[in-house]
Amino acid sequence: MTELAMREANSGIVRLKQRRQRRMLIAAIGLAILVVDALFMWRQGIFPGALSDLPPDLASGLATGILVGCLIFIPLARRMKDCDEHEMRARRLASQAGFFVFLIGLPVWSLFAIGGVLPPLNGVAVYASAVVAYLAVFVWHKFR
Amino acid sequence: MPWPVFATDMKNRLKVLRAERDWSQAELAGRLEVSRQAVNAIETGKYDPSLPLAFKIARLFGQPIEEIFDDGTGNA
Repeated sequence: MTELAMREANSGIVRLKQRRQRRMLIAAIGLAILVVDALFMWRQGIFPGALSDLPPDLASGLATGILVGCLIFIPLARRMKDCDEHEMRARRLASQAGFFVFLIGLPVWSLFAIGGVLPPLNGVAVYASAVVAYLAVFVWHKFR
Repeated sequence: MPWPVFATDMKNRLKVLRAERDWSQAELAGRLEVSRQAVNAIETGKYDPSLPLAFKIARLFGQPIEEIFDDGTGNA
């Protein structure tokens, strides 16, 4: 091994790549758990709301369509690099906002519903709130 | 002991340099291959560019990075 190759092997770039790969793996596992968890909750009827009235076949078809769409769209979007770093930051912050609305909104609403302060938990409403939070934060950081 | 800096207080001369060349934000954005909103956000201090973009800006204007960006600490 040449000196240059050895230096590169010990460099921060290699460690950075390894860290990124680890992060990607953890994110993928987290996403898989989230999807399985959401499907389980759906089947248990924990997500009531307008979508519960859909015929089972149509619901399954829609879910599959969304998953396949994500699998195709996300790699394509990353490959095409259709946005600059400023927009990437806006997207990242918006994603975090949507995530936290869901993460905090769901248990808070559930507990308030148990306490009789709010009506029973509506998963669609929590989801819609997360989407609104995403869009609001994205527009704020991208266009302000 | 100084407070740790969590939020940057970066200033830059991007607007001045752009004006000297009579470029619009859209024109500069095209040369840097970013959106016009990105140029606007950098000029108004709402967004700090990444190192690669800062280098690109410096190369475009033919000046060192520290001549264009100032982190306000005087340690450039």
